[in-house]
Amino acid sequence: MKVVDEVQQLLLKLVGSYLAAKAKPHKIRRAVQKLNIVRSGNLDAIDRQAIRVAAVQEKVILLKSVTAYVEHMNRFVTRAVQQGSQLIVFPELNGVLGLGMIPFIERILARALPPTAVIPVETVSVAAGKQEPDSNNESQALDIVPLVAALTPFITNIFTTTFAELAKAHGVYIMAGSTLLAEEGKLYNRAYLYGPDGVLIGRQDKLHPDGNEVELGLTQGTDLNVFDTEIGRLAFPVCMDATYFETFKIAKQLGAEIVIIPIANMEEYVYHFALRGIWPRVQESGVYGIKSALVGDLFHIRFTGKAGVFAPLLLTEEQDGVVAEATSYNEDDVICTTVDLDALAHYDDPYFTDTNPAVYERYLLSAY
Amino acid sequence: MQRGACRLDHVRIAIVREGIAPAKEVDMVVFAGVSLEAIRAREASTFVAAAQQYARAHQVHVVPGLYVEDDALRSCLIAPDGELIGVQHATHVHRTHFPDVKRDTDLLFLSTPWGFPVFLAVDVDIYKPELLRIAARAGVKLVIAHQYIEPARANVAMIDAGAWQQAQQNCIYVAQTSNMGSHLIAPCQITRDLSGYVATCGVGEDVYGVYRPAELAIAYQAFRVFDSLNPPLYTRYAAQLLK
Repeated sequence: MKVVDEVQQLLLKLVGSYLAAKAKPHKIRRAVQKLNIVRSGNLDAIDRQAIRVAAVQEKVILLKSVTAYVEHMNRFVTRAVQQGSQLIVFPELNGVLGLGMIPFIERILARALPPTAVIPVETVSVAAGKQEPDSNNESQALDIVPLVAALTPFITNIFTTTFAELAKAHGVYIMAGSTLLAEEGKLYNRAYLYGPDGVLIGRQDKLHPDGNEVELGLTQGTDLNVFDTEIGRLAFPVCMDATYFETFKIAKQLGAEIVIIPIANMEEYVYHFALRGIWPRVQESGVYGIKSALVGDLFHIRFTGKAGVFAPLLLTEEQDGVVAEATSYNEDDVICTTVDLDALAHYDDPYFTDTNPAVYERYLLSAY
Repeated sequence: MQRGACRLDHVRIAIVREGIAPAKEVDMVVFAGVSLEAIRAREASTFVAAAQQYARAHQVHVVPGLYVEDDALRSCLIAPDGELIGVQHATHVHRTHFPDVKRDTDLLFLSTPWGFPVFLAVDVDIYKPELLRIAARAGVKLVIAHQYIEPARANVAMIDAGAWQQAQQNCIYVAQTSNMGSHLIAPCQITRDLSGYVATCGVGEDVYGVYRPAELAIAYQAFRVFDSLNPPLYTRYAAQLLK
């Protein structure tokens, strides 16, 4: 049962106003300026046969000041830029790491986060007896929508300004990852893409929130967007969206060449569990895939995943569909590599690329 | 050979070399995949008749494998009494291996005594997520996938990208076989090592396994894949989804 009272609402408003004041855009711009970033020339020459991309694998951390947030994100960007990256992608929930600035945040999160957030790794025969929800724990959970609504101005200030400024300062494209935010009383998990001029190119709401997110009040996105950039046509659905072939097929048919999937998987790492997302989607749809991952422990929640870049089998050296991938699933990393969009344009694999629209038209939509 | 009636709560399945008697009591026999030349060499009526005889002799359901008949690449399911339950034609084609066959538009979900239909994925149909989504949403719990994989392309990725991931994204069982080996596949959560591979074997070997449909329900609780579908999105982007 969700618990919201008037005192809590007032407190949320006060905290929201306090944080919004702390994270005013001009303060964030000043923090970026202090870094004395030298603009890279990574986008001066663009070769479609050698687009440099970077997937960030980021240990979860609550960042306690504007300066800390900016410096933390800049470290990843700098590492990627130094390796020639033209596009850098950050994980899901990257925008909420600035919540470290909230007073008593640890206590708030300990109550707000579902106690069953960590999915135990065990075979079903063992788990079968453990499927019943714990109603006692549920009764202590906070209503997250008013919380996020109060914090949205702060979250969006720090998240969007930081990445707009870093993209502009470094002269690269940055997919900032995603953040939770509230809009007109609804909760979204929204990702952002910034161009080298610091301008917001586009946003993408999560289209397939999982069960936990739906319980928290997350709203399904309604649009799947593909953005035309100098470095290719990009789409960036979020995490669970990669479980569904529908996401990638639609993106591909809308013209996507690179599909970015930021993740924040709350589960122990199992190779085959992790294989269920972007990799098979890339094989089915014939696009490049870039996965960025939030990893590490936050209270009792464990995030795992390997950032990487994936391609159709025939476009990879070992015919295994992996262009580059992190070796760890729980440490900071930046995976930098090259993708060849011209090769993708000419890609054809008779195992995967045949189509039969008559069958899909006859059966598919009625299957839902 | 006298066999007991098949149990309705589980399917004992074997993938064995063509014509070889199963080494233990099973409910369904799938003949192992063979080379392209062998598929081409099959005379349809003789091939199917031999499989029907096998079914009667061993009192098992049989899925004998790929054959070409009347411009269609086919797979069939035969009942223990030798009756032909159904014949699925390929709806997608590997144009290099089978340039002469036509794509069909019918999908058959074949009745079984186990309370759920079976779908036969014909060759590269196993790589088409649209088909397996349709099948799973129609109640299919078991897919039999015969395919030909040229040796130069044979690796685990070709299985992961097809039969394996179809089982995961639809919470179904897939029994897959090709000229390069055979795999019994299930949702990760109900396999001992969480890999999704119940059993595998190489060329010239046989593999046995038991599929329990009730376990699929338990697997689904661990990974409720259909709960997060977004039908309004799919309708909105139908023009792209149906291409």
